[in-house]
Amino acid sequence: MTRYLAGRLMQAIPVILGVATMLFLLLRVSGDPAIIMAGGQSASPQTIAAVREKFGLDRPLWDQYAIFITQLVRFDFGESYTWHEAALGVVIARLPTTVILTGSSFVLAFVIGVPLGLVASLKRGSIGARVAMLFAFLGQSVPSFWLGILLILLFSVQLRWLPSFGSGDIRHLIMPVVTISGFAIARNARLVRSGMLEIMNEDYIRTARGKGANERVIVTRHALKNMLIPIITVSGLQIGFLVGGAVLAETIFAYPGVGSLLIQAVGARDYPVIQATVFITATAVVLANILVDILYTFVDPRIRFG
Amino acid sequence: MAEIPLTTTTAATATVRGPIPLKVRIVQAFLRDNVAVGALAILVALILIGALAPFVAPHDPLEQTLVARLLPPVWDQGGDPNYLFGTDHLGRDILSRVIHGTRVSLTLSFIATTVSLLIGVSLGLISGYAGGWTDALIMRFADTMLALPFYVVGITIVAVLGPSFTNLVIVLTLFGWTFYGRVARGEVLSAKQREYVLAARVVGASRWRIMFRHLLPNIASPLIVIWTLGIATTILSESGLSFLGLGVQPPTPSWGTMIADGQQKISSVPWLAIFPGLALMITVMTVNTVGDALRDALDPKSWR
Repeated sequence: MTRYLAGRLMQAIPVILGVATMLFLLLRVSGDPAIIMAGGQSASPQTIAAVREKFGLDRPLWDQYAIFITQLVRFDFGESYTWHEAALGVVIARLPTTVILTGSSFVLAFVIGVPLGLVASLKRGSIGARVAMLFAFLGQSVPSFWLGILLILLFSVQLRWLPSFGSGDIRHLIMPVVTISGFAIARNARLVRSGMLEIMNEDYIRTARGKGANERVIVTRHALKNMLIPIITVSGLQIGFLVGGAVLAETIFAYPGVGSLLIQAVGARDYPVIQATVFITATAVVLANILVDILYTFVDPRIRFG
Repeated sequence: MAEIPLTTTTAATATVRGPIPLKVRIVQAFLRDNVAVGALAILVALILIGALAPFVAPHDPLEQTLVARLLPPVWDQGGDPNYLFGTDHLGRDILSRVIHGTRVSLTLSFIATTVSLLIGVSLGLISGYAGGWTDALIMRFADTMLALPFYVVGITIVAVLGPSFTNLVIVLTLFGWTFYGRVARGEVLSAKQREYVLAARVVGASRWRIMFRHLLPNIASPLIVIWTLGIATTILSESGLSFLGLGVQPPTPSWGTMIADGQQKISSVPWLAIFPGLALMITVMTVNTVGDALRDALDPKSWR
């Protein structure tokens, strides 16, 4: 277990290094990095000189890269120009709200997507199955940010049931979570459906039927367990997608998370915050992927650590 | 004596029935699916609307008519038959803007998806065929891009480089190529050991020739399907960036920007956001349906 974890974490290093390198290069293809990092042309010459000094921007490119990586490893992203405190702290303070948002969306995609797919595959041709497939089809084609706006129109403007912005209690979570998870629900439903249709023709299902197991046991004990494996694989890749969706949802619902922070920072050209946000979310997504991989072993005993 | 008529009969039946060519079978399978044919018809119509936007649109999408600001759609109280879908806060015709938005959306996503396909397939072929360090490097790059949240990194790149058509294509390609790359690589790895590749190598074909002349045609069908579905995803990604103000820049009419404008006034004039969103959804649905049908048609198991 420890060895497997260590190996998996080692694999994450090149990915995180890749993100860092991209951030590094991005700053340097877009003009003088000292000016960009100091907050644009309006920055005072003193600030620009200080930034140039701190990041060694007068040194050769390789030295700059080494300095950049060392500072990332120390989580030193510099001071935010808007909040006047360490950029890392600004991002960390907003992280829990986004984690709750994407975490709930991840769970909802599972809790609604899987049953939808089951209905669509097990009761083929029924009205329930048709409705489930229609939902899956709509979910895959509807732009999430537009869905969010329609939800506001219905539940905040017309019915006045839910608040249209801010965070706090669970009522603030409902619409953003639905907005983020809509696509993932649809994808899970489609995956479960096609997977179940395939699995129900397998030999071991026929064997189970032959020995007289009832249909419920066959579905839950035999089919569903095998079905979960591809779903978990896709869900792992979906985490990054959900975090991206959170950026849109947080903007629509003025939800104070990392996503809306990024948009604010981009608007203000607050480079330390932008860098910290991208680096921390990317690292979090990579770590979440590893977590999903570990989940595998609980579902599929054939996969062993090592 | 009896053998001669026998051979002529077989020859005759062969010319009459013959094996149906592969392409014909695929087209037949596609045409048998009514929903697919319908979706394809809508898609062709959308492409025509986009291509002929200046002739189809009843108004200039940028023309501001200040006396006709925020008109409701024609079926609502106070609607004007000159402006079927109503007007926005500057008195611009929404229908015309939605029509012109089709052009922007389809062009951008077609170019970005095609560039992704070309780059992804090339890198995937090289990765799968070369193996070793080249493979490791390309695949780690793909892993990196797959792990990253598109909007987080995409926003940053566009914000730093500046929003423009080219930079949008660059960002969408940077994320888009991985899907084609991974599929192409996987297919190459399984095809590499096949006899036809070994045969090509034996007769002295070069690596590049084997990759692009022998391997590529054999992995084309999954790539075509992903390309089609990729266009739908790219339309959504592009409109999301435009919605955040980092995509196509005003005054060029784009669905994402129109929805963002509409959100500001959602409680008083909801149609501003509803119409461009509907256009967006219908387009994505159509492309998805065509892609799904194409996948079925290319699958020999579905041929009857």
